[in-house]
Amino acid sequence: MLNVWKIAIGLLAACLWFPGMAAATPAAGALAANAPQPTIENKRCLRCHADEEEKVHVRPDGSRKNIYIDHKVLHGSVHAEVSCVGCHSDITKLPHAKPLAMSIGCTDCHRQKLEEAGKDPDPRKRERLAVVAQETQTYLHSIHAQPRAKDQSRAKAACHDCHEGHNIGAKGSAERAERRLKNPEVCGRCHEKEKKEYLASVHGRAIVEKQDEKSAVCSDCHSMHGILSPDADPMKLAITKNCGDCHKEAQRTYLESYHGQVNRLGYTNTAKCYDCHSGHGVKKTDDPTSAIHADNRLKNCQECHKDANENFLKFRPHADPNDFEKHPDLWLAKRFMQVLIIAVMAFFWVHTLLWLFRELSDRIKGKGFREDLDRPDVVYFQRFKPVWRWVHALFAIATMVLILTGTSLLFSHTAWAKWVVDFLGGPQMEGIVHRTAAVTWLGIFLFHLVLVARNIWRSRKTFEWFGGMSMLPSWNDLRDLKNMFLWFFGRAERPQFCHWTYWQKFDYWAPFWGATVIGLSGMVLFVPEFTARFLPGSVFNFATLIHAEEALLAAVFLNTVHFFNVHFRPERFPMSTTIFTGAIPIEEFKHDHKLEYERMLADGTLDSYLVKRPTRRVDLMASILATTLIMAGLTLLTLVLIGLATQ
Amino acid sequence: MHKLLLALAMLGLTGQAAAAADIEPLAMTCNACHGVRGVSAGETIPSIGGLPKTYLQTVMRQWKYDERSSITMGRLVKGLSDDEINALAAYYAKFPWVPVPQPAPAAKLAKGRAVVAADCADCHGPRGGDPDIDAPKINGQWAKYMELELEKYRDKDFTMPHRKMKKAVRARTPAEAAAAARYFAAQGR
Amino acid sequence: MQTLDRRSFLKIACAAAGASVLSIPQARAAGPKARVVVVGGGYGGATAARYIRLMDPAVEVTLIERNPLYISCPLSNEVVSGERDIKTLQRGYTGLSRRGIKIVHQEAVGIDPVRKTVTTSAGKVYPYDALVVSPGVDFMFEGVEGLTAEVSGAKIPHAWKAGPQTLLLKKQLAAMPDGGRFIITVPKAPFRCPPGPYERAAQVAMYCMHHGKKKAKILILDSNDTFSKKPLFEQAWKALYGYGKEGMIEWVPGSEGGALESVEAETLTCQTTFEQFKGDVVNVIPPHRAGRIAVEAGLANFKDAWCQVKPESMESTAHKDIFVIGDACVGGDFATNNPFPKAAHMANSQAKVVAANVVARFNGLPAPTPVYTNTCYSVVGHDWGFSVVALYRVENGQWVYVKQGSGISPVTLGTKEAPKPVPRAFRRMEAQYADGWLRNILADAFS
Repeated sequence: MLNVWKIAIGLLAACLWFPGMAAATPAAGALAANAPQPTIENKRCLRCHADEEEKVHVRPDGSRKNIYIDHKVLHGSVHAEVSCVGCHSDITKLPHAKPLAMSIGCTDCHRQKLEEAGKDPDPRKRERLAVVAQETQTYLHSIHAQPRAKDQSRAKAACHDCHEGHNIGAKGSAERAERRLKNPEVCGRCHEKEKKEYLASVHGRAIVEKQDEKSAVCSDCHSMHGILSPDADPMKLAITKNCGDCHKEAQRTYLESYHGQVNRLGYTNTAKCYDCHSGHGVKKTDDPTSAIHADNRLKNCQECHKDANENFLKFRPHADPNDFEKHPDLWLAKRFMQVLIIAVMAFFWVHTLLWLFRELSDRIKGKGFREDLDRPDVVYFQRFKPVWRWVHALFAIATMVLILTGTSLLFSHTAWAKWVVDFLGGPQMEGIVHRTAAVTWLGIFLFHLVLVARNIWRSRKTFEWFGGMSMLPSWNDLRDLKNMFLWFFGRAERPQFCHWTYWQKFDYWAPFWGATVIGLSGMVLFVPEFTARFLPGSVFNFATLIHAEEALLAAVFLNTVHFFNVHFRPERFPMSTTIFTGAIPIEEFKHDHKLEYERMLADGTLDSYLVKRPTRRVDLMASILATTLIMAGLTLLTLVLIGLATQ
Repeated sequence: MHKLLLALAMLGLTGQAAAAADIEPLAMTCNACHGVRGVSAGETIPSIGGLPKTYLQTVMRQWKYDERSSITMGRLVKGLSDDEINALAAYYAKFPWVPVPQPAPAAKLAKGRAVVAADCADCHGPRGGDPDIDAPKINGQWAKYMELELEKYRDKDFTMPHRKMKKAVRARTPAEAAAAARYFAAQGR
Repeated sequence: MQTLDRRSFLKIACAAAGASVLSIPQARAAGPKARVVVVGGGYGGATAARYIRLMDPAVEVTLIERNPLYISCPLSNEVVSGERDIKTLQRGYTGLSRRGIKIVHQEAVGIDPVRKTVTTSAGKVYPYDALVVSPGVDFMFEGVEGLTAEVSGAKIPHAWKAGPQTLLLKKQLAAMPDGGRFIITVPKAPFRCPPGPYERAAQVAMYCMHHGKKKAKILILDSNDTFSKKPLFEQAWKALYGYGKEGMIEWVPGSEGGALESVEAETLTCQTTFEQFKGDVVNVIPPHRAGRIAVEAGLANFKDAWCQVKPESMESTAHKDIFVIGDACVGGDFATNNPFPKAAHMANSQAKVVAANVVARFNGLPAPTPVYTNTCYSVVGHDWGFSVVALYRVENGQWVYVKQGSGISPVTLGTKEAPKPVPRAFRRMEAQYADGWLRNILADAFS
């Protein structure tokens, strides 16, 4: 049906009724558009939202929505003075019919507030706002800030999904404490399964039943704003680290274990707290449903160690060798190792210092042995056969590789350790390298035993077990040592030695002992599942302890005392290449092994051992090799000392 | 139907425009009591031109469905369809609001201003011209009309919606409410 | 089809609007787009003239009205009781003349529907393209024996056209002694303002109550057996003044001898079919019919008294291009007794329908579908009023009384089984709304 009213009203507007009104209207509209948005005072919002009598609003579609905001709570919030429409900026007119938008611009506002606060005279306020701004930025990189799978327009969890916008307590306020207790409830709105597990855990029960705010809530482990997927390494590491915020002892002992060392390097392939204790459902050991209950523990181990057997249960994952009460056996083992280390090092460092002092003072007086560099020896004594030179070189290299790969675990807290492991391609690669070197090292050790046995067998008729050519310690060595000390103090002449000096014997027997101890403990740890077939799990505790302590002793001893004895004492400085060329300058031989020289001169066998000075090329090669190994050794020493100092 | 409306909207011919043309004969009859363009000349009958559409629509619907007491209008709107009610509301809402400022003694205005500032301004605006969506403009509305409405909010014999409005009115004496009405009535644009 | 209709409609609407705006100066030079003559400047005529100008200022409108002032009949009963100053009912024609309507204060004496002209008492001839006839009613004094125009004007006023007779009746009432009898006679329907006599009875009673005439009696001699808003009136009469034989107000229906047959001016005696009633004031409302000019123009084709019109346009069924509105016309649904009520509000509604219709015609547009409303307030005490409202639609050319949009003020609240009295505040407010209505409907016609 057509009609005329339209035209009538059109004409009506153009006629006399309100002259100018039609023209005025658009102008007024334009003015309104340019005018600043009217602000709505909070008290106007609270007229409905703080109305005790009508807390629930019934929407036109019949749905009910609690719109009540407890004004006491709001008053206690840090946002108490913030304008409602400052956040709910899509509201320009009251009452607003539709539900509010989900995005309310917390991050932008906080960034802006921080900029504004730059001029604020109160430093605490500036700091606080900086923290908040930082947290909001952190949030933006979290998994919660990523879009939802089903609704790309919404974040997985926006600020207000976790924070009650109207109840954000100031730091240290009662609201904050209360909020903390609600944390599992808040996270559990989405993470229902995890919440259920958590509420049954010791943490959850302490929160719910005892209102114990010291118990762990979700954010304590998962962090608050920077939450990432727990499948990602950074989060796994962070969670493990966060456990230690409360469980300091457990974390310390964990970090001393192989599991913890790898973890501390930034790798997650070893057991982490929650792998054994279960993440959300952590319970006490005596709880039959606990993952670490005796009945469930093996299953736990088998998660990683597929072939783990009953013996694994004897392993003490958090063993503290310093705790005599709980681990007297380990305590003893550790004390023994410490005494050994301290005794050896103390003795030899004193020995070294005194020697250095003697030689230096002799030198100042123009006395003592000095190589004449202007007329170097042209005649050398052939001291080492090639096989021993090879044995030494390979052994040295293998030892260094073992020290490097071993201490990078032991000192996993250091930056260099992380660098080394990263360089090697991670703890698994490191393990392979370490084991390879260990096999080489032990192989050489065994090979040398065979060689020694053969040599002894061949000369079984003439071999003097405690003679000058024997490596076995003898009373003579003690006498030499005494005389050496006398010489150090200027009370006697320097003692004269035969084929092996006492320090050379120690340099031999120390690694001999070390190789045995380290080798055995290393083999125990080599394939744990295999070891556990025969031995109880506690051997891993002992092996780890002894392996590390003995290795440390070896590393420090070799790179200090051995280096001094062979290379760094002024008579030899900067180095001796004898072990690489096999030949020792005849004068040097005379000086250090006078008894042997004289005996050989007497029985006329000396000549057959005299060789020409090594060619310049061989000399250079040997020097380079020696230098390299010394430098490597010193570097390792430095790294180890850094590790020890920062432990 | 939706497709048709969409097509119309794209041509610039919205359904609303057509509806407005259809409603004109009915709207004309309202002028008899509410004035051309909804500017009333009688002090017990409100001006309605330029009031928010939602408000007009809500009130008419409330009358129609017996959610709000009325003296006269309720009987009439029961004969109107919901579409007609919506169209009438839209028709009157598009006119400019024309306040009819009614002078009052200064003392009465001062008293009214105090009441308004305390109890009315939040929803109706400080001068009655900037109300919430669900509230009418009342600057320059007829004082007598407003007093009668206030009485309906106060008197429990009347079924009135809006609990807050009732609460606010009942918390004040009739004289105070009347003073507020006089204050709003005295306001111009 | 709907799309096409609307589109083409808007095209025409825009063209017409553009043309009329652009062509105003040109139109003045070349003569008006169309000429409308309105006969009678009451609620119907004035409103029609005003709305035609509002809708299309290019149409020339001439309003022929013999009186310089119009006095509203609605609420004039309050003048009788002294509740209202008659000046509040008066309106002049300057408002309309400011709108460009030519006001001719002469009496229209002839209509030539063929030549389409109207002749005035001064001999002027006004040609029209459309004629709106809104003459109101004329009284048939001859319908009551003993009654003449002179008697009515001096002794037995009808006061059924507001003006001098209203004031005469007021004077007679004031002079009536306590214990006196005030007789109102009601003619056979249809008559203008159906609840008017009963409202008058109440207003008179109120006057008596407050002016030392508590023993007065108001007797309504009715030619009919029922009347508009009867339960509301009876309730109010009973509550305020006493109703019935013992009460101040008594109503005698036609079937019980209420129908007036003759009056004797000297003795102020009314003779009904059964009885004689002597009064101290006698207010005889004579039977009426359409205004003389309409009758003479041959428009009164309904029972020779009223002008029948088409409800969809208010156009006379007797002559083309002549529209009869207000109390003079009849139309609607006679069968179910819901014809046009003879009320000011109805005249207002009819005037707008005519205005829309003629403007559409002049602009070559189809006629709109009309809607009629009626609101009629009765004020029976200074704080007691009530009303009847009605909504009428025209569907497929048929007059439809919309029952859900119509009705009288509630007599009781609550349920039928457990009725509750209507609070006095409702009645008081309606009395106050009556005043608001009056001011608005006068403004809608004369401003």
